[in-house]
Parts: sequence; structure tokens; C-alpha cells
Amino acid sequence: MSVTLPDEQTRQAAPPRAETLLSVENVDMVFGGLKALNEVTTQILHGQIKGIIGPNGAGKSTLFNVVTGIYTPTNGDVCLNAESLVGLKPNEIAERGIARTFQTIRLFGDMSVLENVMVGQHVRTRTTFLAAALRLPAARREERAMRERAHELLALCGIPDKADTLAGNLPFGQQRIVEIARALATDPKLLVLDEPASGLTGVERDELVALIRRLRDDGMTIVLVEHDMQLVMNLVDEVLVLDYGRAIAEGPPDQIKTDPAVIAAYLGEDAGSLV
Amino acid sequence: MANKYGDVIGVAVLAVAVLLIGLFQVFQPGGATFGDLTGGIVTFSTMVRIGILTIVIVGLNMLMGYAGQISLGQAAFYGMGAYASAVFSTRPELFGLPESLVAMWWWPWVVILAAMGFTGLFAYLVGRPILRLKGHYLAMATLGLGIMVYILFRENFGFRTTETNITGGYDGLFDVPRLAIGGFSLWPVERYYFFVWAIALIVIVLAMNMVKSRPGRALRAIHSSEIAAETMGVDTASFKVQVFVISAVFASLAGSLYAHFQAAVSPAPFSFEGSLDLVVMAAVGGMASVWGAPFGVATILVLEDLLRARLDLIFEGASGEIEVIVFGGLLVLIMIFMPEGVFVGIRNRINAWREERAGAAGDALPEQGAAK
Ligand SMILES: Nc1ncnc2c1ncn2[C@@H]1O[C@H](COP(=O)(O)OP(=O)(O)OP(=O)(O)O)[C@@H](O)[C@H]1O
Ligand SMILES: [Mg+2]
Repeated sequence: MSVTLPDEQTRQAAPPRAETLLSVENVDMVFGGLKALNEVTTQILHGQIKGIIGPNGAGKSTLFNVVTGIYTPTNGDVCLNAESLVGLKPNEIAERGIARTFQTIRLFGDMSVLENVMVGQHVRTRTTFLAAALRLPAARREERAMRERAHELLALCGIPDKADTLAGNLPFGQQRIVEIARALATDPKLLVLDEPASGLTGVERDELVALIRRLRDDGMTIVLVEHDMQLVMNLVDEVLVLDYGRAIAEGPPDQIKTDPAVIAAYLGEDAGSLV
Repeated sequence: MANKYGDVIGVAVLAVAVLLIGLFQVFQPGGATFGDLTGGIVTFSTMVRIGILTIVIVGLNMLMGYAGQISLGQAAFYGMGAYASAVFSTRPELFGLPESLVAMWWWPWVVILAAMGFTGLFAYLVGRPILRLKGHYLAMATLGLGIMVYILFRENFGFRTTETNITGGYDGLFDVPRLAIGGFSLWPVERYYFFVWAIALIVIVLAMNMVKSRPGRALRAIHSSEIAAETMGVDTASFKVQVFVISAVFASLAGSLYAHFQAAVSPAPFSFEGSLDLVVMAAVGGMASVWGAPFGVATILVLEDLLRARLDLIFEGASGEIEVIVFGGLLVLIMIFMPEGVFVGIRNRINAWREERAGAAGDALPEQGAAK
């Protein structure tokens, strides 16, 4: 290791907003003959909300799967705080600070909402089978703390009264919120949301947007995929546009709306939705 | 409320039931033994066997019911405990240990613990590669493991000569000593019964503590969605191996208790059929419930006793095959009408019934209903 310079130390203590949290460098993801991601490069800055848009099959979910370790990229590198994540297992990436939700909800349906959130805390806790079996004081203390924290997170997400409901019995919209609460429970640096608003009613959508804004105000960095252009353009700081696995444009929402390449990609798809 | 103290009450009820049955057998009020109580159908020794197998099924339940990982070879671990106890507590000299150990009261206990450790290590080593497999593939791999271990027992590890007779082949081993603590023997059977059930209750409590905590939630998460569990930070490979090892250690303990109970071991209970029986007991009791274990074992063993004793009354001259057919039919009926298992099924039905009544009462007393 090199000698740490004084200014580097201060930077570590309080990362300035403009510093890169996640960098994706020249990532390819090939499935058989299909290049689902083709030399994708992008940066996500601390405290930023980044939107990823693109037609169906553009590779948005694939990019998330690469970032969270479900897929290992064929080529390229993914770094969190300049540390490569390639080759790490999803649980190791969760430990380093990336949490996600899924396009098709993957809650633990036969567990209560509270228990779902407590599974999210798994990575920040340590009670072993043995400690749990013997109900050691440390295990009981940790269990109590987890329970309290989980209740706090449910309150933060606006569903404090759902703690004891089976996750699978919740209405769809609230299931999406529980997925976010569960992801937050991992205490992430980066929150990755795959189509968090899809299937939500208007009211649920507004609540979701309010929640995401609240998280951003608390300093959370967020990447989200969303098809609803209005929602994306109102919410995010920057947009990345994927088309056939390629990053065809990137920039602030206003600039993206008028980008000719983006409009071309969406022509025939759903051109009207861009406006 | 019922939820919070339900398990504590459950342990208490089970302990009282165990105590009552044991005391009845000890004091024999009116000269009747426990067996007489059931018309000679269910014997007291069946009660001991229920306790022993409960220990196996609690572990299997954690593996299958909670973590969702099937094992069709669990009898192998059960057998490893049984054979280790039978071999080492009778003939330690086979493995270069002093023969005089046989006379020591503490020696069988050392063997039991060592067998648990060895079986756990074995489960760890085979579990790491095997548990990468999923579904049918895992079923096949554990099945193969079970058959392999069974054949090693049956074929005396491949030794044909009598000088190196380790497992006794088809005939098995005899004269396994009873357990004792100092000068206090855990025999006759009434003492052993209390001892076995004390262990079974401890295992139930340990397992309940585990499944209700962080590692238990990790197991259920793996069962529900392995991908989601992993992205939430659960090291799925490690937790699967850990629960596999726990289930193997419990099975080994039960196997040792079985050997000292029968005072003999033979390969048959540890065959593929033996493993299947264990899975059936787990399923009949109810998979994702520690409580299902004693219920599942009791249901199966009592049914077996019943059929053996009474079938000839229904079918004149009924043979063993008819017994198997009727037994299978009953299992099919149980799984059709209570697919969640007998214990879980009954509990769910009682809960639903209570909720219905609470709902009716809640209309009359809204404040209480809201306070829950
Ligand atoms: N595991 C896989 N094996 C083979 N092909 C895959 C796999 N995962 C994704 N793909 C393919 O990669 C391409 C990109 O898929 P991806 O799910 O990333 O699209 P998306 O942008 O998220 O689309 P949508 O908006 O429909 O969610 C698709 O053609 C898809 O079929
Ligand atoms: Mg997608």
C-alpha cells in the first residue's frame, strides 16, 4: 500500500458529492450469441439518483445482474469505491454495500414482512447457529436490536403496520415497498431498483417517489430502471439510455429528452412517451 | 400472544405428557403397564423409539422443512452414530485402542460425542460438493450417499475375513452395553425412556432457538428464493452446509442412543428404506415446524404398531404385504387431506377456528379486537 496523503484521508472521511461510487467500465455480457451488454461504461456518483431507460430487452436488468454479482461479466470491470467487484458472489457484493430489488418481486413470501426485513440485516449481523441455539446474551441482544431496526425501516418506508403480515399476502404495491425496506436493511451504499414503480397504482407511485426522494435527502445513492418517462425525468439527476446492450446516451434528463439517438431508439417503440 | 409463548407452552405440554407416560409405566397403577393401556398394541418401547427418532427428524426438518434441501440419505448419518457406538463401545481394540476402555462407564459417552464429531465432519466434507446440486439432483446424490454407506455397513467395509469383522455384515453387532453415569445405570427401559426424552426435549429447544433467529431466517430465505437470499447477503452455500452438518450430528446422536437401546445394530434400518421412512415421518409431522417432528414420528410408529397388531382382524390371514399397502394408503390420505403435515395441519385448523371465534367476539368488543 502506498503512503496515504493528507488530502486522501480527508476525502475518505467525507466523500465529496462529485466522487464516483460505482464505475462500470467497458462491460460486455454475452449469452451464447447474444451480446446483452456491449462495452457499457458509466459512473454513478455519491448521492446521485441515476435512471436507466431503454426499450424492452435493452440489457437494463442484465446490467443490474452484473453489478450485483448474479452474472459475471464476459469482459470489463465493475468497481465500488475503486475496488473491483468482478468475481465476487452476490452475498459478498451485498456485504460491500450494494443492495437491490427485483423486476419480478422476490420476497420471501411465507415469512412476515418484519422477517423479510430482518433477512436484509443478515449481512450486518453475526449470530451463529450455536449462539442462537444456546440463546447467548449477545445473540439475544442482537436479535432485539435487529427487530427494533426492522421496525424503524418499516416506519421509514411508510408501512409500520404491516410488520406481522405475511409478505406474500400483501398487495403488489406494498410488496415492492417491502423489497426496498429489505434492501435498505443491508445498510447499502448503493441502492439498485429494477422497475420499482411497475404495476403500482397512481397513489402508490407517488408514495414511492416520495420515499426515493427521502432516501436521497438522507444521502443514499440510487440507480433505478423505469419505463415511466415522466417519473424518471422528474426524479433523477442523470439518465443512461441503453439500446441493444449499448449505452447510446447519458446526461441530465433535459438533454436526454432531445437527444436524437434516443428519440431514434424509441421511435416505433413508444416515441410519445419521451415528451 | 399465543405466538410468543406458544413454543414454551408446547415444550411444557410435551414434557408433561412424557412425564405422565413414564410415571404410569413406573408405578403401574392398578397393575397396568403402559402397554396394557393401549390394549398391548403400542408398547412402552415404542415410546422410547419415538423419542430417539424425534431427534433425527428435528434435524431433517431443519434441513428439508426450513432450508428446503432434500436428503434421501439421512439414515446414513443415523447409522454412523449407531455403528460407531456399537463398534467402539464393544471392541475398541479393533482400532488400536486399549481393550480396558470397555469397562469404563464413561467410554460409551466419549464414543457418542466422537461419533457426532466424526459424522459432522463427514457431512461437512460430502455436503460441500453435494449441496451445490438442487432439486432432483440433490435427491439423487443424497440417495447415492445413503446407499453407499449402507453397503459399507452391510458388507463389513469390504473385508471378507472374520479377523477384521468390524460391522458384522448382515447379522450386525450384539452385546452393545447400556449407558451408565458412574455407578448409575440408565437401564431398565423406564430410566432409558426418561433419558432419551430429556435429550429429545433439549434438541427440540435448541432447534427452536435456532430456527427463530438470524440463522433460521437465513435458512427459510434460502428455501424461498436462493437468489434473493444471496443478494441480501446470505452465504447460501455455507448455510446449507451448516444445516446439513447439524442434521447429521443430530442423526448420529440418535443413532448412538438407538444402539444402546437395542443393545445391537444391524444394517437394515440404515438402508434406503430407512431414509425414506425418515422423510415420510418429517413430511407427515409437518415440514417447516420443529413441532412436527415428535408428531410425525409418533403417527408413523403408532400406525405401524396398530396395523401389525390389528390388521388380521380386518383382513383374515393378512400378510406383511397387506400391512404395507394399508400403511401406504393411509399415508396417501394424510398427504391429500393434510399436505402441510399432521401437526401443522391440525394447528392451522385450530388457529383458523380460534380466529373465527375471535372475529365474532371482536365485533362485540372492538377495543379488545384491535389490541390483539
Ligand atoms: N440468463 C440469460 N440467458 C440468456 N439470455 C439472457 C439472460 N438474461 C438476459 N438475457 C437476454 O439479454 C437481453 C437483455 O435482457 P434484460 O433482461 O437485461 O432486458 P431489460 O432491458 O431489462 O428488458 P425489460 O425492460 O423487458 O426488463 C434480452 O434479450 C434477454 O433475453
Ligand atoms: Mg428488465
